[in-house]
Parts: sequence; C-alpha cells; structure tokens
Amino acid sequence: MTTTTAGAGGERINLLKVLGPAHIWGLGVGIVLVGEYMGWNFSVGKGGALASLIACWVIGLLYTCVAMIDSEVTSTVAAAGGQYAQAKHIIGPLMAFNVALYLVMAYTMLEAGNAFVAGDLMKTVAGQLGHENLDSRPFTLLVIAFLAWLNYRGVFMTLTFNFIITAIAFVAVITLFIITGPWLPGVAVTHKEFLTGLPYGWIGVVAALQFGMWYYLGIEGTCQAAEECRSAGRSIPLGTITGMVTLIIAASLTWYVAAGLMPWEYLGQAYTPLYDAATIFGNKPLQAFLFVGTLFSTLASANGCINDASRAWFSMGRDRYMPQWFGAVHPRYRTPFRAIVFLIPIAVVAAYKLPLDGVITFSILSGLLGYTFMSFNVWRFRKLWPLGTIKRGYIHPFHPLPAIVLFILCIAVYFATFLGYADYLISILVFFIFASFWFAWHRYKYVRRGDQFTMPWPRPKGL
Amino acid sequence: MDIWNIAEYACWGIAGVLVLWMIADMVRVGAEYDEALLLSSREGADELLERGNATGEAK
Repeated sequence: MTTTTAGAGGERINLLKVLGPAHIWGLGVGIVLVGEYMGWNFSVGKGGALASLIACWVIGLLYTCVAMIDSEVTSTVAAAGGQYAQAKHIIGPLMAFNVALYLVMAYTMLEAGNAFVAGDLMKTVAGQLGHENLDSRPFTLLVIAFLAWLNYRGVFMTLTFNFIITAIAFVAVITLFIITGPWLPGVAVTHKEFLTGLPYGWIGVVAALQFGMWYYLGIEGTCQAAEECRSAGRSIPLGTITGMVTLIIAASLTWYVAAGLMPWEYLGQAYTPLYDAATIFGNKPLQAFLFVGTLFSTLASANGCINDASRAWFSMGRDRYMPQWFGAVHPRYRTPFRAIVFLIPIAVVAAYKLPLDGVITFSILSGLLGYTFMSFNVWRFRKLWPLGTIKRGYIHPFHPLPAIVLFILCIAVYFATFLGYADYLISILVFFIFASFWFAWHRYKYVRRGDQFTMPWPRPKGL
Repeated sequence: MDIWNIAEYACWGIAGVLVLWMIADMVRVGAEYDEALLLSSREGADELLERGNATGEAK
C-alpha cells in the first residue's frame, strides 16, 4: 500500500492502492444495475417483449466482448483513465484524447440522469403520501453533492459504500424473482398470455438493440480504478467478469418477471417497471424493498460515474491534455480532488436543464464510440505486443473473434440509434470532430510528449 | 410547512455545506502544499509489470 515515494526533493503523492475484486465488482455492477430497474424496458416499446429478450442477449454478447478485451488490456495498462491510458499507449494521443472525452461525457451524463431520477423518485413518493408538487431539485443536488463529497474523501470508503448498496439492489431483484414463483409458470407470471411475437417484425428487434444497451451500459467503467487496485492484474479481470455474469443473470431475471406480469404495450413505456411489478403483487414489504432497490441503484450508478469521470479528467490533466491543474492528488485523501469538484457544476446543469432522454442518449453514444475503439485497440495491442512479450494478468480467448464480433455489433447499434435518434448521433459526431481539431491544432503543443508514455514495455514489434 | 418542505430546505442546506467544504478544503490544500508535490503522481504500474518485464510472458 505504498503511495508516497519519499526522497530528497523528489517526494511524490500517488493515488491509493487499496481496492480489491469486490470493489471492482461494486463499481462495475453499481454503475449498470439501475438499467435493470428502469430504461431497459424501452426496448420492449421498440419491438415487443421477445425483441427485448433478443436484444438482452445480443447486447450481452457485445458487453462480454468488451469485458474480455478490457480485462486483458487493463491488466497490463494499470492506470487511472482506463481506456484513455490504453489508447494513449497503443494507438496515439489524438485517439486517447477522444476516448477520454467519450468517458467523461458518458459518465457525467449518466451521473446527471441518475441524480435526476433519484430526485424524481422522492417527488413520486411525496405525491403518493399526499404532498403534491415537491421540488425535486434540492434532492438531485444533494445526491450529486453528497456522492462527490464521498469521492473527495477517499476511494476505499466510496467503493465500499457502492459495493454494499449495489448488493442490496441486486438482492431486491432476486427477491422479486423468487416471489413470482418461477417454479409455477402460469400462476403469477403468465408469459403465454403476454408474449405476442414480434409486433414490428425483425426491424423492431434491430431498433430494440439501442435500449438493450441499458442492461449493461457502464460495466467497462471498472478499468478506471486500475491504478487504485492492490493488484490490477487480478482485481480487474475478476471484478469485471464476475460483474458481467451478475448482470447477465440480473437482466434475464428482470425480463422474465416483467414480461410475465405486464403487457408489452404498458411495459414499453413504464418508468419504473420493477417497482410496478412489485406493485402488481400488492405486497407492501416487497414494494418497499423494490423502492429501496431502485433508489440504491441510482445512487450506486451516480457514485460510480463520479469516480470514473473524475479519473478520466484527472488523467488528461496529468498528461496536460487538459490544464495540468486538474492532475493534482489530494495529499491526505489521495483522490483526484480538483477533477471531482470541477465536474460537479457540469453534472448539476445537465441534471437540471437537459432532457432525460437526451442525457441518456449522449451517454449511450459516447459509450458506443468507446466500444468501437476497443475493437481496433485490442487488435493493435496484440499485433504490437504479441503474447509472450509482456506480462498480462489475463489473456482473453479466441482472439480476434471477440474484436470482430464487437465491431459488427457496434455497427448494428449505430444503425439502431440512427433509426430513433439520428439528430443526436450526428450532433455528437460533429462535436467530437471539432474537439479533435481543437486538440490537434491548439492543445497538443502543451503536452510533454515523452512524459505521457509511462509503461515500461519493450519496443513494439514492427516499429 | 410540512415535513417535505423542511426536507427540501434541509437538502439545499446540506448540499451547500458539502460543496462549500470541498471548495474550502481545495483552496486550503492549494495554499498549504507545494503545487509540484500535488502534481507529482505518475501513472500506476502493477507488480505484474515489474515481474513481467524482467521475465517475459509466463508460458
């Protein structure tokens, strides 16, 4: 756990290496699990319940590829910034800058969406208890401020908290599934009655892929904690892949319960489908537990997003891709404190001013751009540093098949997004193109080119 | 004024205190510590790297 390298005039402050596999699981699953509580069901609206199940498993394949690829590369590039640091070492500075922006955008927008939903949940509860028109803004602000404060004070406490509330939210999903009595099909859950085929045909299945991302969006965030793991080579693969297994189970159970209790026309536009499922049973303790699960899942997601967005921003500051001031580490708490504070007002403005579907679509598209990068990244990584040239904590099987599958599925999801949100897709691409020009022509001159490549790797093949 | 109105004011207040505390601490740290020390962190290296570069990939 050595974090300060003392020396005459050469003292250094580094991020704390205190995290283990359970924290990584809590970070990855914590960011994602809210997607099981709400959001995934919009895929039902796009193509029916069966289309949603197909999307669940097809996108599950996409994210399994992401988890395997990320685990291998991150077990070698153990640096805060995750995919940003990977891109910097494997492809180059311009790609790294874009990847870091994808990460900051994806996580800050997701944080804003979660804080908004948490505030809105309080408004709903107040309405049900007789207090109409509660102002949700102070609750949204408190969520962002409290979680930022937690992140400011230390990563161990932050991700231990995330592990606990994520585990409770996951147990709530399992409890709901058990109470539906899956061993008695047709009694509580009646899939025969509610499954009506594909109402919009196979194009509905393609359209459902976009919201199928909700089942897993954010699991790749585990990589951001690599620099703070006691052993990244062990913790990142173990935490990420067990997290992915957890999510595939949670997604399948969620679909099974909701699709067996509600008609697809209702399910496809519900805001809180799991809470609605608990309400159908009329079981008050179950309802309360699902409410707690919903709230905890939004908090866990926002908390993990603050952790990840701040690490990406901090890493860019450290390499001077952004002002170096952001690359500071707190001398007591060993956190990237300036990056954490800087992102607070951005999240608050996004939560207050931007429409929720826009915030979430920007988050999905930023994530998708990152996944597309990963398919090229791992191919180049294996080409430049083949197996046997550097130590890897994990080696993903069947290379290059996962990279090819990932790329094809990303293209399919771009098409699905184009069907529903072409304006968002085009505007975000234009944003990143302008940002790239700004970086190449203006910002890169401030970067100390030799200092940014820190991995003590052998010279790559072919260079 | 019912409990929900009180909760609204409490949320504004607590959030304000937390944000102000972070800003005050950030300013204090900036004033008390040398900037070069605060910016001195280096990208992490896992123990795998230290062992792996000496020995190459485990077969």
